[in-house]
Amino acid sequence: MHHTKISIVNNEIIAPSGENYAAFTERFFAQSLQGSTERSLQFFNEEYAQHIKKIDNVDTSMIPSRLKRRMSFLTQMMISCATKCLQDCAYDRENLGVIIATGWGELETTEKLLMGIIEGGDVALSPTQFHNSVHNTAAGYLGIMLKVKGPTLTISQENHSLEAALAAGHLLINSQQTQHALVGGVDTYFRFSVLDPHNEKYPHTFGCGASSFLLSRDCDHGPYLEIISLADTLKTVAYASQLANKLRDVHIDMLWLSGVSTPQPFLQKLSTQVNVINNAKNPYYPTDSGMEITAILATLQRGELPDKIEGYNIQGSSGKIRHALYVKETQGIYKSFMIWV
Amino acid sequence: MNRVVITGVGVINSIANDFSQLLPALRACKRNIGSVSLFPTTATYPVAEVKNFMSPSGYRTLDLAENACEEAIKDSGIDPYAFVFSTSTIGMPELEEDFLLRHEGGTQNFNYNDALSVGEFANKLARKYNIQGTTTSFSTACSSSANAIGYAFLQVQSGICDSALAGGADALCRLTYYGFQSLKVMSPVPCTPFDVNRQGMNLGEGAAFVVLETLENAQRRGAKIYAEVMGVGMSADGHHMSSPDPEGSGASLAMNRAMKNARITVQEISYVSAHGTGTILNDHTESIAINKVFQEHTRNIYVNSLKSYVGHTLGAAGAMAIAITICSMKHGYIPPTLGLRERDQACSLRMVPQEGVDVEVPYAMINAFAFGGNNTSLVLGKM
Repeated sequence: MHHTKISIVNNEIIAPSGENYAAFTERFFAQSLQGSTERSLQFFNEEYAQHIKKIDNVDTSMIPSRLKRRMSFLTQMMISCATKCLQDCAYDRENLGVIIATGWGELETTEKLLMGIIEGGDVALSPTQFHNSVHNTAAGYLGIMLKVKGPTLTISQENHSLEAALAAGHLLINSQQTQHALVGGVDTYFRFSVLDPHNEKYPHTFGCGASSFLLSRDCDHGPYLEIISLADTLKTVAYASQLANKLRDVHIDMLWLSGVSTPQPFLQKLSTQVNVINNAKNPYYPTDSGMEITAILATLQRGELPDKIEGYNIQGSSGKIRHALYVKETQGIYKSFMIWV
Repeated sequence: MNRVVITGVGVINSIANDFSQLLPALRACKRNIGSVSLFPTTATYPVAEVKNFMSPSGYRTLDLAENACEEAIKDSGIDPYAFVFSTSTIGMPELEEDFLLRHEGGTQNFNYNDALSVGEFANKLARKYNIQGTTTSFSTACSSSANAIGYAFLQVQSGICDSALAGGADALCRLTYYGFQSLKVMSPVPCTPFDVNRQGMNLGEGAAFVVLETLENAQRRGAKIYAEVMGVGMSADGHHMSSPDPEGSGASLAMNRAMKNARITVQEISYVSAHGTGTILNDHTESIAINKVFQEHTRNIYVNSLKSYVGHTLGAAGAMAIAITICSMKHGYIPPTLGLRERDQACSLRMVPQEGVDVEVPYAMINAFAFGGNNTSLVLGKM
């Protein structure tokens, strides 16, 4: 099997269960993630994701105040996470791309603008708020702050936003569009104020948090990321054989199923042989994907899984975990990555 | 690496309901730029609306996209494997109506999750067209669809898929209409990019999609081939959210990268379809960037702005320019920038003369720039 050597050089996360990677990892392995308060509910739990509002202890000290006062919370959170991820990493700005994943983008800013139109008439809009309402806002400000010269893209692909952005980062590096790609995922809790809170629960966005992954080629240390398969309408046999062919001579130690309601035959066979972490619920937008992929990286770094992850079904025996296969499914849309050290 | 060609085109905008209507409209210097009819307003900035367009799903952006996707797929004669979608307005026109209704005390059963999710719009189309491969949606404001087509090119080139449907759509709405007004970049008259008296841009709307596939595939099935996608270049200004870098460094980087990716030299490009919004700043800095890239060869390159025909279709603009450039390549005709009477001396470019030029276009470059200093250039080659 040909491994494209694209490394995940560094990663960072801002999640309710940990304000950075170190805190997140500590809590992940210490199993102190379940609790009684709204802020420390079960790890990756659906209820948790729905009820959490905003993370209020995001460190934004690195953002110049002239920029910060114009930024939404979402953009500040993404920038905080991304700059910490890049800290101490060697990259040159000419060859750094930024790919941000967001399920909803800047809804809060958009609502302000729409209310301005409704209440203030034709010329009520703030020019700053307007250019800050696009999905690409966080990527744009990141580009400005870091003086990035590579591609700055934003992908919004529902539950698969972060996975699609990782695939895009991989492809842009592989096709030499950039040497490094900072892939980020971000969303924040938001609910339109025009809705009646008693009668209309939706829409609100799910989860709050940001995650960042710096991908690089020509880097001699892992973990490495490989995109195994992207298949949006699953043809079971085709998909399974595609996976089987790619993985024939690779020993998978851990299979992380995210939202896979009914594992396909190939995955079922594989799952009898390896550690399986199965979150059969439907994980939400980049926030949840970021936590799951970060947890995989933490597991690979340590070489072992925690004994228990609340909300997840873990099967399998102990043993050094070096190769992880992550399979994400939402309504028949599959994406699968392999991450290995 | 695969060579990648375009074998299907679908387009809808203020001057053409499909690809076949483009050439006659361009030759006739047609433009339908007039008052806003889609929503009541006291503002008088003209726009380029798609007239008499019925929106069966209730989402204008989605239906414009569907119109162009359908045409592109039919034109190509294949079912594309992957899909790369893009939009910036999503269901904004309908969300605005909902907000207004609620402000007046009404309620309605409105699906916000559908209306506000770029990915859901893409998935609806992917399901309809039985997309078997992956669906990816970009939302990078005015460069969205250039990025979508650029990304689809990279996917097909690298062998991730052997064919892809890619492009973008955006509908006119209050948010963008008043938003660009707040930036003071709207022209009170039909826009005249690169003219010394230009007063800004006109908003437009529409959709453009293309089917890309490997050259091998296209030749094997005897498909008609419009053009080869030679390369893409993407860059960031890293300068300001809504103003381009005055040195044009990000834009020139994107153009240089596109040519490097295409493995062609500056001398081989004979036509640049400029981003050319018609604002003082954009046209000036784009001119600086083009000169920086092409140097003395700039005087040999025809430049125009297609936004003088169809307005600035925002997220659809890059794909729109690609569709129109394909028309130029196919028919050997480069249209002029409408309304351009006297070129701004600060824009040192060889603008296409007002009667247009009948000329072969072996290689063309298409530029698309966006908020956040997001720049994308593509190079097309005639087949």
